[in-house]
Amino acid sequence: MLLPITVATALGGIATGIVIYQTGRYMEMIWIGMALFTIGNGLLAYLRENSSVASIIGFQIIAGLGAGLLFEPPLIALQAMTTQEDIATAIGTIGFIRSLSTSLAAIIGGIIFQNGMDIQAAKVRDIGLPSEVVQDLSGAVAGEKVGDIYSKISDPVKVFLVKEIFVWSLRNIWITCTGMSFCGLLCSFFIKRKFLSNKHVESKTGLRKDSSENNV
Amino acid sequence: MYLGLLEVMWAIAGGVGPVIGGVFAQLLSWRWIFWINLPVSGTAFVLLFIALDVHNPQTGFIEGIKAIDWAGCFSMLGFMVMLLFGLNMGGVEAPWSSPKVICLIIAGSLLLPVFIFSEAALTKHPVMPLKLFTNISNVACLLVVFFHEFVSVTSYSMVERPIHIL
Repeated sequence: MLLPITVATALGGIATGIVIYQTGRYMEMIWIGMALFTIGNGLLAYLRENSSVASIIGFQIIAGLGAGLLFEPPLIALQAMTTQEDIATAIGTIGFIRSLSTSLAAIIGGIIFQNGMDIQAAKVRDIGLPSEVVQDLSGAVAGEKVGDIYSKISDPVKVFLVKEIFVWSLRNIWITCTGMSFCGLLCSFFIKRKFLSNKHVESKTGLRKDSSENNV
Repeated sequence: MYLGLLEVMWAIAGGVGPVIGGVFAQLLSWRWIFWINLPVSGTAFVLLFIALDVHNPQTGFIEGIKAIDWAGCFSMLGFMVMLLFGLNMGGVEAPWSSPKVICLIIAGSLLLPVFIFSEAALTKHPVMPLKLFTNISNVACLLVVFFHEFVSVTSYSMVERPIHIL
């Protein structure tokens, strides 16, 4: 069920490309994107044991749209502020920061979830589940076992309690995400605008074309 | 103009890619996600080979090797690998308080100042020129990229779970 968030991200990305292409307004895209991203993640943190699938999809779409708006504009903002000869390293640095962030995020997200499950280990034991299910619910493996765990539990009350534990651990991730994207929103206000009107955009791109011709 | 076109292409490809990937994964098999890259990058390679005309500065091999920012590359590599290994191991393969985990995290973190020093003082062609960071707008930009990427990755990797759970 990754479809809503990926489709929303894709649409956001395409829309950003078109808007910037036509108006040159990349700053607004960063602000709107970060705000949507923060709101979307905040809403995901609002999910509870009894939330509907529709609300998950809706929240995903908001977060996804925000994410989509944010892929290109920072690149443009950075390029606008650097000199021609530094652009290659600037883009390289962005790529580097991205991969650093990706690897950190993949690990830290896992750690937060795992810690959430570890903290609630006593609660899991109190539910009174078969020992193999308790094993599945502990720490690191819990994430992967989420999908097939319910088939092993028949009692709806116990299922509800397990859901509660899962959702609590996940909520910690969304809360972190909300905080992080809010930091991003704050940072985005420190980005300086290089140009304001269409006219300037043209002169800027013209310059870029000239210099790229010079390079060739 | 070129930049704008490039962005539109990037946006379209980036938008279509995940959708096609999803369709492949559901209808064919995940292997096709990788197979499809062969004809696409093959075409790109041929097109580039025929059409791309970039000035080649003809740098000598030894000169080129010398110009590479070795200290920067290795300190960064060490920083990333050790820190991430430490974080990844912690609590799973070894407890957080184990010497293995603590040493990895501390040694890794210590390499970050080494990296910054090597970028500032040791090399002529730094992988990450520090002058990029003297401008507050650039720093803000890179931070936005960092937070965006961080939250995207965490969000995307976790967003499936509520569906399984609820």
